[in-house]
Amino acid sequence: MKLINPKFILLFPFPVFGLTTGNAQAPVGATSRALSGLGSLQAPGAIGIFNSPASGRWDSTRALFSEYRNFFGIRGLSSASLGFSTGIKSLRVGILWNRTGSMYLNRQELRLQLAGRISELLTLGMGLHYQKAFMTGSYQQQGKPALQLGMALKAGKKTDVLLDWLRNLSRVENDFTAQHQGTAHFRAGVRHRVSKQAGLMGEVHARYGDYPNRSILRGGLWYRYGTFTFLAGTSNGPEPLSFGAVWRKRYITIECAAGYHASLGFSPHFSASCNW
Amino acid sequence: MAGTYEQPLIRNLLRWLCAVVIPFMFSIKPAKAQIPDDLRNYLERFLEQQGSGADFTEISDELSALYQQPININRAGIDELLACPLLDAQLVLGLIEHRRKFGALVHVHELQLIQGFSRELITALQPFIRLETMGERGWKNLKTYWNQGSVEALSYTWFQQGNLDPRFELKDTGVNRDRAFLGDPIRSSLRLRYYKTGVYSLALTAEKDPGEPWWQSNGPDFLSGHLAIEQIGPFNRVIIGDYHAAFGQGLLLGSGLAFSQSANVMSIKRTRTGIRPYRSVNEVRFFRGVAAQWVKNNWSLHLMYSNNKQDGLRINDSTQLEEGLIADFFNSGLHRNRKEIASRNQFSMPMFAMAMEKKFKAGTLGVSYKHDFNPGMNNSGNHLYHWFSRQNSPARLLSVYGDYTLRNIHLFFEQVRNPERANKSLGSVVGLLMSLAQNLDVSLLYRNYDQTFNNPMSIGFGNNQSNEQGCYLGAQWRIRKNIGFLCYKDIWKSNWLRYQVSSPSTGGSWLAELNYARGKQIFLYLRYRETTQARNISASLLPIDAPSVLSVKRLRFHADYPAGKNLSFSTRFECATPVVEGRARQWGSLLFHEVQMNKPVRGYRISARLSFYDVGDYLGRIYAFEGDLPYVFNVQGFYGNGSSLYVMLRKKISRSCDLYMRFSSDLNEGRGQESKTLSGMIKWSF
Repeated sequence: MKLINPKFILLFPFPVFGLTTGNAQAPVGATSRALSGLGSLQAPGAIGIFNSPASGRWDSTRALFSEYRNFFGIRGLSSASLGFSTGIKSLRVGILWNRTGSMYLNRQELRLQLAGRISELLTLGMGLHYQKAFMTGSYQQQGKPALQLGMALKAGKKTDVLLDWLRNLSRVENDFTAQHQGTAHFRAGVRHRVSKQAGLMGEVHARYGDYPNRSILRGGLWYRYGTFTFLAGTSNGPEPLSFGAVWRKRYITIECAAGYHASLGFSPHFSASCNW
Repeated sequence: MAGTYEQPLIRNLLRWLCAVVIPFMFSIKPAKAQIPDDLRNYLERFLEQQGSGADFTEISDELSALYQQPININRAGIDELLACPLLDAQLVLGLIEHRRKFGALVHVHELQLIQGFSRELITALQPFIRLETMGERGWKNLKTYWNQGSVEALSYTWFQQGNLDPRFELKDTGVNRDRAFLGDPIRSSLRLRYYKTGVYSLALTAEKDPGEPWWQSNGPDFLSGHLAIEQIGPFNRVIIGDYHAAFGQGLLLGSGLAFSQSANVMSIKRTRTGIRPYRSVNEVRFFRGVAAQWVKNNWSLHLMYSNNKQDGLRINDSTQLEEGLIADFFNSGLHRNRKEIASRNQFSMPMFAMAMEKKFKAGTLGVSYKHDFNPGMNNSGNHLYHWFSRQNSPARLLSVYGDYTLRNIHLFFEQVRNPERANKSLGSVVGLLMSLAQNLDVSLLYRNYDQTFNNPMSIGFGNNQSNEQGCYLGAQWRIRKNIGFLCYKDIWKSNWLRYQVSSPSTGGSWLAELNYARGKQIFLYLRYRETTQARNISASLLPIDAPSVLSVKRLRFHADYPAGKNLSFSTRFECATPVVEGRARQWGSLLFHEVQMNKPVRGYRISARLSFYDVGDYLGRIYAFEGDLPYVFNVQGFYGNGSSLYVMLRKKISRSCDLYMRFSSDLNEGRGQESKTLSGMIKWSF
């Protein structure tokens, strides 16, 4: 059996500037951010795992920080990741380690991911996450596992329908530092390519459990111009508008994004990653 | 009506005719027709967002000016093209790219070669465009042009019965002396214009509102006029009298009606720039003086002097420290009782302004400068929410503006600074229009108006021209030939108090619409709009005015469809609910059905609409655009429980005379009110 695409991924620790929180993620952190956290449509979910099994997603962390940033006063959040992936033609597997930290809060995570393309129309993915969070000097959280399942269905030449479900396997009540606030998340999204250069996306994100039940609607668009991709997104979440740009050349990807909050202004994000 | 107004109607009409009509009694040629009815849907998309309190008379002038002075699509810049109601960003960018590659168009049907221009669109566009490859005409023969001029005269009168303001009934004596209306409940206007497109325009307008006397101490309540001459001496245009001026994004110099968030999601750029004559009956927000435009090669220079008057009151109480300061400015233009008449034209606002622009191949760069000779007049009243603007009234303001087009991307910006404190920006706007694909357009705009930015002649994008920061994102997607989807999201914050909001606040609005169009007669859309903002709600349990979050959600289905050869129907259902914390949610709804004749039968053309509404909460009132007389735009705000009917009639009396009549009746059981209104207009074209 011949392995294809053995790949390492490294995210450089990168400082984040701004008045509000930031979260540097690899390889699609800022991209997801630029699309108002369109989680099911970028790295995560079945297609994301299949195409890049060592990728990660921390948008629920981002959403958590966004909502509680006044409480924490978080600024200067940075992140580093290292991953490895490999696979055969229709089955991919990846492992990823990530550390995200700020002045007050640190978190480490280990992620195992597996995805398989069942047919041209259907791709399935699965992720097993284990994370541990601690606040500087005082608090250490018990390790928490979580399970993620995703499915992607081709609904036409230019359209994909994506479903993503994530459940915390250990329940921690009212824990601000939990990676996955709430016990379960469900996302359903549609991705449509308008032309070779441009596309539109939309997503419904439902959160269950200890977080108040609330659905978030998100929409986004991307536009490719040479080696650049420009992104814009909107949601009814805490950061209603977001923008970003991605530059990709060979192994290097540099991403920048900014969410715009009416009270707090822009919160910029930068990330750089290297795939080889 | 036992009011105190005793001025005979006939005598007053004769006085108006003597004052306004006689100077125009020497014309020859029939005037051009009014703007087409096809633009009704287009207009409603802008107007309904403004609510029913706004004065829309100006938009008719804007559109009729476009109609009478078609755009030369071979020479027009991006701003002029975007000002045309039927062109969007994708079409304009495509046209400019086509001109760049292949040069000037030789025939209007060459537009079909550009992506997005269909045959139907080109037909609809034809009244607004022309093709000329040579320069504009200049003065050749004064007598010829004078003889070729056209005269338009409009007389508009409005009578109302029932539901009258009780101040009409008060006697002008004793305690009611400052409250009683001195005039009758008739609204009337008379507008005359003598013009030759592209050469000159001479106009005079007189207007009185209900309750105002027909004749004030020195003439009609509002009298406006201008003489505009094109291509005279070294100048391309000179205007003496009343005029509009707008440059850049309208932050420093901007007058006239301007729209912000609307269902035309790509219309975020101020496009009607330069100086142009003012012909409306809106009594505020225009310049009065002299303006001149000079153009040479790619440079243009505009010089303006204005000394307009502003209604307002000073504090007369000698016990107050603020005695002599301005108590308030009034922008309603109403002078119905002694108090309002006393406030008329109390403050002079002299100013000098200039704007210089250089056009490049792909863009424009400009500088504008304004000097207020009486800068204290910019104070906006003695309210706490004007605290910062009262502290900051610079005499001089400077702005830099420009735009740049790169293939399918159009960028624009303007920034205003006080030259004496140049390190601080007072107001800035940055935006872009992009055509991402053949069927996908995006608009994006960021604005930041400092709370110390205080410029009464500003029409920047946004809800307020001061004390606002915000970000707007809009997209328009033509999914299929007949099906479209559009949406926008806008969020903003105010760092200081605003009118009816007694704390710093944030807000936002978003809209999504799915529409279907087939031909010119079938148009359906389903639209959802939600607006969230802070507002002082009087029902608050707190002893002070504490702002609550007010969110208004609206859902609308609208259908225009034909019924037979000469009839078309419009049906709409809309529901809305205001959501305020601690208050029970109440849904309101509106249903109307309208029938209209597409062509006149034996010279008559009739349309009628019947509406039923049940709106229990004033905060959730529902707006609908109603058909009205030419040059009158009417957005009705429905509140209460009842039904409303209007019937409109147009009759061509002779080659030079048209009669328009409108009867409306409103029975509002919820508020116990009933009113009937009859209005009419005669249009003469000599």
